[in-house]
Amino acid sequence: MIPNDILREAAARTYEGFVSGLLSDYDAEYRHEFSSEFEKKIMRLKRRADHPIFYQALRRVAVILLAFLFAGAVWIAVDSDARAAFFGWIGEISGSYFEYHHEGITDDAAEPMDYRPSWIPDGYSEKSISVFDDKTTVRYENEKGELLRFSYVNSHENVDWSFDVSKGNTKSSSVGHCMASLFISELDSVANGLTWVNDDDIAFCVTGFISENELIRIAESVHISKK
Amino acid sequence: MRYKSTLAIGLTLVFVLLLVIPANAEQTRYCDVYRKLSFSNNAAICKCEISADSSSDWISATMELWRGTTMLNSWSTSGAESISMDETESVTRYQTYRLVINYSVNGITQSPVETSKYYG
Repeated sequence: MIPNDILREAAARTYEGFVSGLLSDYDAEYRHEFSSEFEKKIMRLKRRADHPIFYQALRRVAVILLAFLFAGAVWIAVDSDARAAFFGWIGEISGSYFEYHHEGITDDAAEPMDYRPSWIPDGYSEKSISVFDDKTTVRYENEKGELLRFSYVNSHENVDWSFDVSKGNTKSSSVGHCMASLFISELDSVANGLTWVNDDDIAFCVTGFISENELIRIAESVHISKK
Repeated sequence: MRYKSTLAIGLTLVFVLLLVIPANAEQTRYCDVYRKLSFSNNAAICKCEISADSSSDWISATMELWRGTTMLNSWSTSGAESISMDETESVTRYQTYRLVINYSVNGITQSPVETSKYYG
């Protein structure tokens, strides 16, 4: 290790030699003009040197922001609900309706899938299947003529899907690990309903004159029946 | 005698009607309204499907396409349990269009639903 005193002396000697060398060649008529870029760099350095605390704080804030950004990106990548909030179906109450609309990236290249519940309550049998645009509806009926409807929307571009919830109460629920919205009717003549979005960004709905638990059981049994 | 019989039948019919109308008025439903407004080659493609939750539900619907305060076109249909419409209308670019669905179920007018899209 070279002691600091010797280093300081050597620096001072170098400085004197450099300055005397410069002064010997100095001609006031031919002053060196520094480029504007260089001048700006020096000014920047000077500003930083004049306000060291401010620039240190600025650097710390930038680091914290970057950490938040990284944590947010990881959260969105891992949590499907957070991802849905940024890039998927948005479900919200609007007036007397619960409405689904899609925001963010639309994956048009995805091949439409066919979904069916593997469980339906006893007494119901398949009545009809209808496909309109990107929406598929499967209707089941029991002996009393009560309908059970299972619907889903495969593509979400320019689609809005509303559910009249004016005759009952809505509450948050879940289908597996996916967030869902449950509608419980206040009238015997109005069916209950459950809406949710799965991991593949498909919006689903089940309605029928059945209990909350039966609606959730049907929803949790939904699987891809064919591609 | 004949006059009394006619009066009795008439009053019975009125009584039955009075019972039937409120019974139907109670038949409000958990309807879902699917709609899509998209654009292609200076045409607005307007689609909607309304589904009710009973085979006996009668749905009447009108689908309207608006640009600002001007209604460009409207289409109507009605049917039991479920109805759908798929229509096209000529439009121009750089305008915002509004698709409004007015409908009733079993004669009861429901709150209209609408969607707005900008054709850029």
